Amino acid sequence: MKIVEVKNLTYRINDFEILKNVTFSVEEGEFVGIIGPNGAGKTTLVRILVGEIKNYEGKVEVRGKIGYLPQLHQVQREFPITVKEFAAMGMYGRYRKIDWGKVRSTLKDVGILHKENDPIKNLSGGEFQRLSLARALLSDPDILVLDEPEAGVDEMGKASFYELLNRLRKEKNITVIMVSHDIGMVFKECSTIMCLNRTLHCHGPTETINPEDLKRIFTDFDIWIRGTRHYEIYHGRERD
Amino acid sequence: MSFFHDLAEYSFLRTAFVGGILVASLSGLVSPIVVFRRMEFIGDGTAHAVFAGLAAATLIGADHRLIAFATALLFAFAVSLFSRSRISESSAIGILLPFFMAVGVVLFSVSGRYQTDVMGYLFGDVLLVNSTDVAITAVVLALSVILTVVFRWDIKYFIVDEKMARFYGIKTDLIRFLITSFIAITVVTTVKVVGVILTGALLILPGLVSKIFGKSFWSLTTISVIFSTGVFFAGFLTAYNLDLPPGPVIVIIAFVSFLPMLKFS
Repeated sequence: MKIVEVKNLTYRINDFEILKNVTFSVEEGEFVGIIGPNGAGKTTLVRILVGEIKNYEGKVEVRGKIGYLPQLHQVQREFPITVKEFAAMGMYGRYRKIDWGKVRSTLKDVGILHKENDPIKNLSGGEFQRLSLARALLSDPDILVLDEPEAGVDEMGKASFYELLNRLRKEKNITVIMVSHDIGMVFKECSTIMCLNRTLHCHGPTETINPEDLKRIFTDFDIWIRGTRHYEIYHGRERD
Repeated sequence: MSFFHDLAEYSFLRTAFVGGILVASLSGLVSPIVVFRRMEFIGDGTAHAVFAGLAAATLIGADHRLIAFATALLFAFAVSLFSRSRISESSAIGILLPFFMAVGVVLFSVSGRYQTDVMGYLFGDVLLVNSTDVAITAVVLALSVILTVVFRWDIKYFIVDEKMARFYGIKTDLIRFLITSFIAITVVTTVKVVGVILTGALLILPGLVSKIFGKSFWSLTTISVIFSTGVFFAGFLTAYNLDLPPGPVIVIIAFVSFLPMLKFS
């Protein structure tokens, strides 16, 4: 079943086209990685999908509840709120009540139950991402949308976060749409890849994506090299 | 202990004292939200804007509280309107604050009560607090406590992560409106006690103290209210015994009490 359907999506700021004629769909249970250079419109697409931007042209249909991990944004981490209280935001916002048993079991799922009574300011970048994931899961999402979840997280933290994400999405049957700059990790973890640079340059199962397609949209050669190196590692292909 | 004897003896002193304690409790309740949401400048700006409302009320002979409250809300609305353009919120306050103050001075000078009223409103005169003020402040305080309890989770999530609180369905615009209204009401009630110039101190210092020592939302609020009422009590007592103006003495004591706490921050 198509859980997300986007047809001829165009979004302009003044006369500048941030997104141009983007069309794609996401099947239930897919793990979609969206990659593209800076300024490609990835975050704009995410903000349209989660309903933060509404004045677009085209059709966007999302059939299910969304859990959302936005890009790094201003969180008042000095405020004395505990890890479990922060996580409960996802549930409270949606249902106006808090089931502490469910909050604790979700914190256990993401591996930070031992910190449930700590203030959020004590968490590392990786732990805070796990907490944000717990908050999103507690809103009972059908779709998880993540925008650069690796930002501010060390290499070890990134690897274990993606491993956790993949395990939980399978256990809970959640569709995941993730924007990332970590092309290697996207190739390793995602079932489907979308290459976006204002228009959709390539879209399909990970194993069908050609590195040449990436080269076309990544004008920054270093990023392209990084992407193809990871591509080789995970798919055993040889570079030209 | 002539203060306590006089407190028992004179009803105007009791009214001023009780009114002051209620006002200090109200500012103590609001202060942590002001500090954590970084609304210090808007709190101080609102206090100054109220001056224009007080002047207008004096000129037309209307109820001071009503006009002052309306002016405070008008100021908050004007700031949010300016901020929607390319002007930052702090720049908007920087433009509007002197404008409202200037309008206040002009209106007071037209009213012919420039000398008598201006000093009282600028630096406060706790003895101007009357029984109606006390009753209104008590009602507002009770309402604030009830709303804080009912909306405690909404307020916590609004403070800690407004963007995601809105995404998950918390009515952040309603919470923002409630907080802005309570800042406005707090300013209007606090002005008589410590004046326009000094109100900012009572809106900010208790919240800063609670930020240093608070371990939860409730401890933040409790510490802030205790500090606020404590410095009011100490300031009122000191001012009475030394025959000094209470508003500035309260603010000086609040500031001096805050300084040693900085080493714990």
